[in-house]
Amino acid sequence: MKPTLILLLAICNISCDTKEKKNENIVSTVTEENTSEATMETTKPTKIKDILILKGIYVGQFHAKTYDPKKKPSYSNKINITIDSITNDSVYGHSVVAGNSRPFSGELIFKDDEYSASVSEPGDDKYDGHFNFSFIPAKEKIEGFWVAYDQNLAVTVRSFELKKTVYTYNPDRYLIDKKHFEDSDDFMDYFAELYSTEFNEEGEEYATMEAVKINASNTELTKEDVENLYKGDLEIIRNAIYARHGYSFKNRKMRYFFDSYVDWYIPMYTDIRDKLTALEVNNIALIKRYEQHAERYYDYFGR
Amino acid sequence: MKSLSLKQILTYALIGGYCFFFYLMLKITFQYIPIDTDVAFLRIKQDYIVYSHYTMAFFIHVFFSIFALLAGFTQFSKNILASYPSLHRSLGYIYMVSILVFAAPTGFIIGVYANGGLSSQIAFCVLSLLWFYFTFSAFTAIKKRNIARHRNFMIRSFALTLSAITLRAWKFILVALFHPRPMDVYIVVAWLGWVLNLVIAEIIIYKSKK
Repeated sequence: MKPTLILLLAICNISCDTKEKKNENIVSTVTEENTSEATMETTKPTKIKDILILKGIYVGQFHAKTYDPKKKPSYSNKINITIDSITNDSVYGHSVVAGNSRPFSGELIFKDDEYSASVSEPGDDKYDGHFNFSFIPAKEKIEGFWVAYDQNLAVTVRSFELKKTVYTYNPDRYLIDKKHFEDSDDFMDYFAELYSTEFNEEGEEYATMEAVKINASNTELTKEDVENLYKGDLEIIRNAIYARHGYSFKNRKMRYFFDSYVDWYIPMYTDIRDKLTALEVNNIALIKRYEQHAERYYDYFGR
Repeated sequence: MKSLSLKQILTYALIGGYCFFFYLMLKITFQYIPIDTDVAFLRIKQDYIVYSHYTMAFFIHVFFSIFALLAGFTQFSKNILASYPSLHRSLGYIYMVSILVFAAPTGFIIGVYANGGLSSQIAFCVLSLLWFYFTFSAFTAIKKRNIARHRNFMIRSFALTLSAITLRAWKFILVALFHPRPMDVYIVVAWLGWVLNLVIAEIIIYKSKK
């Protein structure tokens, strides 16, 4: 496993903005800011007027329902389903999960006072499929299923219940709240699990609370900050930079970690290289240097 | 056919073992050929490679220490000493020059910039000073034909020469056993790597006097 290659391997996906079209006629008098307020009061969305409130980023776990355990499925990934545009009868959006960003489009259905969507991915990616989900505007949620086109995949059906969220880049985010630094045995358990045999085909690795205490997005790291850290610590500190920018991890170990244990993490993009700040770029270079050194020399005869 | 005595077996085992570790050291040395400041150990010394005196000292230390390791080992062969005294003398000169002119002074310079803070900086600087002192004393002793003193100081000198190997061996063992943090183990082996060797050298010298 070469986590350092994640970025290089990340493929830039085409954004769905091109599909944003002809929605202006629906906007009418309602602006986006006060629509969310309107939802709180009226639980039932009435047609046309509230439809734009359904747009947005919905995030949550993407659970495997039908799967082949022999094919090493990912049982649960964090997914971002973004509704980019919506009209009376159509929905355009994209999903970001497991390092893959895919557009979808399809119908908006209004039935029994409930909006639901039946949307399809293009089908030119191995992991494309069809989504069916309903909108629950009162709870700012969507819930539904995804069915793969390719029935030979490790997972062919997934379910989800996603909460509407707003993504902003915040360099001051720590993996866990600072006040829990001293009493976070839980995180140690996470690390124990993360670095257990499942993800450790190349031998033992270690990560400790130090990985949680260091923020490489808002602090300029020095040699002294990183030279006494385990490779596992360095890997998490570096990948936390990508996570703050909403990078969707291809690397299974990092994906599992950020998807499962970091509440604020939202997979947004499959390539975040041009979003990194100068400080982050420098820190990444420094950390990588020590990661590579640890990988090559930590348990070898040498320095 | 004469069967091997226990002593002979031990001698061959020692030579074999030494060859193995010498080979590992040779591999470490060859990482830096052609001269490259962005490989191996130097990758985590990027703050210092901008100082030309550091980089020069580093490469001189690496390339001449390997001669000290090779030449030093032959100096304890009674065979060579008895049958080829001129070879003993030639290799002895290589050992002396490698250490006194090149490896020990440069060892001090890079010791000043050692990883792991004051503790390991002191460890490496003291090591290089003692290394120079012991080697120089062995040299002046033989010039004065004081063979016992020459022998004792060569034992001490070579014990410190061997720290190149023992330091790395200790690091390997400690990591395998306790998985310490990288700089913690570095600070420990900076001392452990040569102090123990010197203690063993003193025991050997003490026992040979009796």
